[in-house]
Amino acid sequence: MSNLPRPAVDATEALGGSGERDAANRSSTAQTRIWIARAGIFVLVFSAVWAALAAAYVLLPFLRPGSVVIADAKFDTLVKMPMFEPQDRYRIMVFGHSKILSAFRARDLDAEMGPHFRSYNLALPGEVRFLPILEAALAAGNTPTHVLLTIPWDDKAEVDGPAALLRDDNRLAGTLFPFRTLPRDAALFLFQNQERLAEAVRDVEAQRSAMIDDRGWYFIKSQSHYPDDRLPADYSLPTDNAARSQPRFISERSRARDRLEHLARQHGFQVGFVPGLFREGEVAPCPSSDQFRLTAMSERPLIRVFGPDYFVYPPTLFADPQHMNPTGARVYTSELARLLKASGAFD
Amino acid sequence: MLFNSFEFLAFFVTFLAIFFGLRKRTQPIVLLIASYVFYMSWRPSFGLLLALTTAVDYTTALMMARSRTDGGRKAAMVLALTINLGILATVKYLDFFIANVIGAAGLFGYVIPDYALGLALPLGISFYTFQSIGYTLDVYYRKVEAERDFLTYAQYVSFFPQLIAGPIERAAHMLPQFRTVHRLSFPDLNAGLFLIGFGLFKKMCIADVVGPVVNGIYAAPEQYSGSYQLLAVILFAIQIYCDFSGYSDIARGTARIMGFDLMINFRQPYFTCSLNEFWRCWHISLSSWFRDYLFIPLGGSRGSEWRTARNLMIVFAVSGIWHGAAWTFAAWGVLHGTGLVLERAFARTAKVELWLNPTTRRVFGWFWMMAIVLAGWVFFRSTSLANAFVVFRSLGEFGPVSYGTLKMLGLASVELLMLGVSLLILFVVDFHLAFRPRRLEALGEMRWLPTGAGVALAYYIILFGIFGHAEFIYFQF
Repeated sequence: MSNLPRPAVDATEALGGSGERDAANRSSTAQTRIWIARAGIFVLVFSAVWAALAAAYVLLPFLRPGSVVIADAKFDTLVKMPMFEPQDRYRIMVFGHSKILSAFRARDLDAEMGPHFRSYNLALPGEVRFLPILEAALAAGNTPTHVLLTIPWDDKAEVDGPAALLRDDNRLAGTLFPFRTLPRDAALFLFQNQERLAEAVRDVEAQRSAMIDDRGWYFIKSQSHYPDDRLPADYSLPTDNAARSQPRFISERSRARDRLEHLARQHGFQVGFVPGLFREGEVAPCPSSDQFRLTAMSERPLIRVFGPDYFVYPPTLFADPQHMNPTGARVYTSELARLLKASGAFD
Repeated sequence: MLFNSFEFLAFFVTFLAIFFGLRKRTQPIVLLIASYVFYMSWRPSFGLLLALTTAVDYTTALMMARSRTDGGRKAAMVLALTINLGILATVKYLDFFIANVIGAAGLFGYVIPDYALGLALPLGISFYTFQSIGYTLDVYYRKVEAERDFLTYAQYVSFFPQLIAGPIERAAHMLPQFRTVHRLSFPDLNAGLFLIGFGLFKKMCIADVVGPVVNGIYAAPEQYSGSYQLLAVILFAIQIYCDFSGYSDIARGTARIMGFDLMINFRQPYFTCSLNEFWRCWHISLSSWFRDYLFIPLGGSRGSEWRTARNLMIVFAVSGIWHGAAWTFAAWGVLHGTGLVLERAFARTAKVELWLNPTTRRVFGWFWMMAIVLAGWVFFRSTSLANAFVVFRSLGEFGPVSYGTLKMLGLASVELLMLGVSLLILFVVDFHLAFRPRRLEALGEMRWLPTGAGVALAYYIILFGIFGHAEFIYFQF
């Protein structure tokens, strides 16, 4: 403290090329020429790397994470093909995030609800917005009778303006460099499929087809690290809090709600909230008074809340802390079917 | 407007295009306007306080310069200190003081109404207030002449690269730089770009990657076992170094591109082998400020050992409170002060140089320095003293670390791997900066290596950096 030196030179600056010492010995014109040459090389190499990574991103789609492959397949294929038959009396679209993606088995629900009932799992991994995929489906002529939400609309009252978009660095970076995740996706792909690369490439296509065949249900195998895709019965995380309940906050004012209501009126579908899910111990069970709740939030268009905000299941029905395994998905779907039948809304 | 945002990139490029295209007379005006635009982008009202501080210190310095008596000079100096410290005390410490008075009264059964003001803390107020006070004291002690040109002085206080989180500059170093015309210089541009690039690497590829893990564990320390606490303690040490030194590098780089030279704020502090050495390499602009304007005026190390110990304790307690109005920061300062006092006493009495070889001394010194620094970071990061003690208590109960928890906290396999690679790069660069600077300079002289390194660095940040408005830790001070 008492003899603190005042540093004179920082070697970090030396990394920037010719230092001042050197610079002083060169004429200004020579310096400018050297700098322009270096800047030119920088731009060329930078552009070449950009082009190479962009090409790899386009040519190697199987390297993309499962979440992106699934989202792309749902947007590009699932909702663009004819989803419903003319004889389907109840045409259901279920929305949510990755928990519902892995928990809701549309074919199982159809079997339990009876004939003329057809549902789709349109949950998107890592994505809470449901309007873009609903709009894509409607634009392709797929009109549901019921839109079931597991997570509420956001509470943004206004649409994001250009200034807000410019401040969204993550989105801007993703637009300028669409291949941003490519190196980490490639590393993960190589790490997970070290001795079966060719099979792994085929697996991606198979999983994509299976997801479309299963009407949107997808088991997130890549995140499962326990034998038989089952968490141990006593599994818990430090953040678990069995005394804290997690009610859904459904905002009254929301641009997303306004848009959804507009679409509901325009296309004549009803909107419902159905329960999400948690692991036992992760949160407190929902209050028992909520279990058989059937609340109308709005009459025109009809928006209903079916049952509790969430169900709670033992860890053995989960493949990882957040997502259910196939057995868990059957249990959740079955409980959802019981709730919908009991509501009388699909008689 | 954060340094690590596209918004700042657009602002800075636009500013440079205007700044370098101007003549001598208009450059200072544009720089001053840009600095206020930058500062007021957080909250326009903050600009008023900055302008007030500038006006007060400019005027009182002129009063000192024009005063014919020592009494008059002293009165002007006291007036400046009173106003500066008064503003700082009101916006930063008053609510803390009120809360403690209420708490203390409650212990004796008295109920006092809560008169807390709940004022928003203006960004960077501790930094620019200290810079202004330094100028006032320099004028008072006749180390610098009072600046007569208001525009020059206003630029010195509000210079946007170092306004929010330093380095806390000295008038003698900066004022002459505001009096000259600045032209684009390619060596400065090169050096500046590398400083910015390396700063962004530290911030976006390391600090912001470990930040969520540290935040998650410190938000509820009682829920995690000792292994996670230890992980959080180590990761916070990495985070705060990369965050703050990264900020300082970017600040120096932006200033350098504009043709200004800011002082070095960090010199690889974790490679030092004593607490004394650590403080010569950590937040150098603040520690040298405290040395020059508090430690030495208190008597420094010229008196007895007891007096030196007292001075050190005062300096570090004040330094702790400077960081924030909380007992955790005071505890951090007191811990460091105590550590330095013990280190001095040990060095005097044990005479280790007589019985330990230099390498062993350095190894022991490094462990001692790290123990105090890491313990200090626990106080610094904890939200309360009680939480800090929860961390210390749980450090004795180690358990297994589960991958699921790490993943939930934000360190999935690839992130973990890339963090390791980033830390390795940081270690190699910092090692060379500390011990082999000539080798780095030699690499810088190679024809195409800097260009290749520049492209590699840019892509490393793009591909593995965290984009999003993650604030710098020192913004809160």
